[in-house]
Amino acid sequence: MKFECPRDLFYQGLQVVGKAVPSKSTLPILSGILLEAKDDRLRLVATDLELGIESFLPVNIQEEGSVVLEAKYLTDIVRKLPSQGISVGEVSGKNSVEIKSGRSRFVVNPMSAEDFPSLPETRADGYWSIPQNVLRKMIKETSFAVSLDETRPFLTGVLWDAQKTTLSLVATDTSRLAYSSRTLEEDLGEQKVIIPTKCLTEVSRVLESTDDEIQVLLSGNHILFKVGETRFISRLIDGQFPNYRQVIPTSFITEAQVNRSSFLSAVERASLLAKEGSSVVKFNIEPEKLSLSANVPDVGETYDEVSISASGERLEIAFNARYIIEVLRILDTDSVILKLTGKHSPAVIHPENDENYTYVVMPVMLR
Amino acid sequence: MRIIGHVDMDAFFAAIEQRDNPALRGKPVIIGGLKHSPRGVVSTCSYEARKYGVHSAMPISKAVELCPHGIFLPGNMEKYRQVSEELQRIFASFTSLYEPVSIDEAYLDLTETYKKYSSLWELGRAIKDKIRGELGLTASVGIATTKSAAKIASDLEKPDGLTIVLPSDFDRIIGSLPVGKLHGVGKKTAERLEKMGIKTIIDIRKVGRKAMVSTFGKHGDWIYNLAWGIDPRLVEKEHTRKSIGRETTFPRDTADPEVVIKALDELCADVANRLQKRGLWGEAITLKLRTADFRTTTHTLTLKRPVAAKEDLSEGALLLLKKHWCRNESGHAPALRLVGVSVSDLTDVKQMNLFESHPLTKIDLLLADLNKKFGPGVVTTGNIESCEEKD
Repeated sequence: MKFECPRDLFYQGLQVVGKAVPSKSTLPILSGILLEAKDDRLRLVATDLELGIESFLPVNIQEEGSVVLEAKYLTDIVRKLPSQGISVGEVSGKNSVEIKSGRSRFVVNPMSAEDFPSLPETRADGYWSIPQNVLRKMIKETSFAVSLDETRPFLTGVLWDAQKTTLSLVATDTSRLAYSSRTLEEDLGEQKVIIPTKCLTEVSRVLESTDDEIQVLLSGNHILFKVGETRFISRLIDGQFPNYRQVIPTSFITEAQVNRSSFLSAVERASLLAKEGSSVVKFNIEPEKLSLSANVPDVGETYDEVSISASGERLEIAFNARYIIEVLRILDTDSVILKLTGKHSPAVIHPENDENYTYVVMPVMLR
Repeated sequence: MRIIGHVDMDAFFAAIEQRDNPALRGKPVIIGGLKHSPRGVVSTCSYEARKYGVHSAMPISKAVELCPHGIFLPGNMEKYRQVSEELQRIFASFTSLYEPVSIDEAYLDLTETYKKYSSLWELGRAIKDKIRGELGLTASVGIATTKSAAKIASDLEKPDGLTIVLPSDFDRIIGSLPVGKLHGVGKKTAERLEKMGIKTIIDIRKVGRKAMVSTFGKHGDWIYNLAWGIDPRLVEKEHTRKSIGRETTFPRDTADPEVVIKALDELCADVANRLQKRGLWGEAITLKLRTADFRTTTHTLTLKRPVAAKEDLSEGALLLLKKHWCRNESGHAPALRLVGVSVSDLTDVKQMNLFESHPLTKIDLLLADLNKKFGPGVVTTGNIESCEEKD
């Protein structure tokens, strides 16, 4: 195998697929990236057996063939090489690969390409198209809310719930739930699958904020995303996602409109005295003001106010500050709506004038 | 140096009944369970009943046998709890730093308080007088510089006793007592010590730390320290407590899973009860196992959410038991002499769950309201046979 290509192009490709290389694995071959030169294209592949990422680069091939190189060394070497042409090739008669650029030269030991696991076979047709900016926003709006509890794997992923032309992404850790929904041009039929968060995070890294399209395919127990010359194939998560519709409240006793950034700063300030990372902030909602207070035993206390315009009952309610901060950070409207159903029942936050997004959060009960 | 008081009410439940019903005074009053229930145990009995050999934790059937003309009462926990709350208000008038151990017993940190009195005797009498004056009940008080010594002291002149043990008096007053008086030395441990030729607390010192550790493990180290009057435990207010737990020594060492699981289940119920009474949730469950050969191990399960319900505790404890009570080479799980369950990483806030429509939630809400109205609840109920208090 031997090819030449611009350093930047190669480095970009390595960075995209490198995200699938597991940080530690019992299978040594997985710490490598497969380089396969064939038909004027270089195919890069990495996988942790859950997620596989494959990218095709247009390179100048002098000799077809394939090798696996240790991801860490390969990426570091290419990053440090001068920004010009790179040549990568097997040294004839020796089990080694030479990486050259200008006057720099590395020789590294490859692993056998035959040992590299092949990505799952998928159907060739049946792709749907979704505008990249739409999917990117939906992933951003939901993926932060997943559970980190590995004992309940079905909550560690994002639910992909398609009902004809409506696509909803939902994530929950059981204390809060993020729901993002859009109407698409294409009919997706009916699908309900749970996608590992890692896959969506990596896909969203390569998505542009344009309405260029990303292709999506469900095949067996896998989901496949295709963006340009890069494909992401992920195993789906088994299990029953909880019935999220029934926990999204529809009637409220208090509604308030509040400036997002001043709300965010106030909650961030109120959480500064947190001990061991989690902080409980008390919210007191009055018609024109929201006061926030936190009292941390052995540390101290804090008080803050934000102007709001509220209707309905006055209410005192406590939240885990992190759950409020996280959602306010990912939203981008000037103002958000906070809706409450009671002191010990769910609250809703959504952007003003936006019915596409709903964030449900449970309060904290103080004894 | 700290001054620690241990206040232990005399025959608490029975004394309250006798106080409220003159017809019961001077009579053997036995409180606990139903007279004919095979599972019932005596929770308290009056000193008149004790003369017949009746004591707490004894099966009711046995008590009936010993004292057939005794007055058996099921008990009124609600009333006792109220008295206990009044008792706590009295403690609070002496020191803000007091630690209820159970419904009728508490440690008081008197380090600051005693400066206002001319002597520890005067302070001790003041506490007893106030309890008698306001509640019409007698208490036994022990004052010392450690929890362990204070607890032993309060027991020495029961009922209506007052005993003060300064470090210089420790050897004289406590040293010659039988080892069983030490906190954490149960019947079986005492028997084993006796086989080693150890009868009194002072004898333990002669054996040396090394021998105690090699025989009893960590526990031996603890007992050895107590024998020298060393006990670093401080009086802690509820919310600063690090764990709430219970343990039980089996009447007979057992390798029977059914017996062990049943015991664990009862312990979990009791711990859950205490958590709920104190308005706390825990985020870690610890299982303690002591095998017949005195090897003690503890195993902790860290949860991702705070729990207080018995079902959650039982589930966690069982999981730990399955994992750690393993068969050895001969295919048998080792016989156990003690199991214990404790909950730590305590918190008084609970993040509510979107999907949980657990009935407990309602109880939690009710308790939250009650606690707010009346202040944190007190320890109570569920005396488990041969259960040793674990601080």
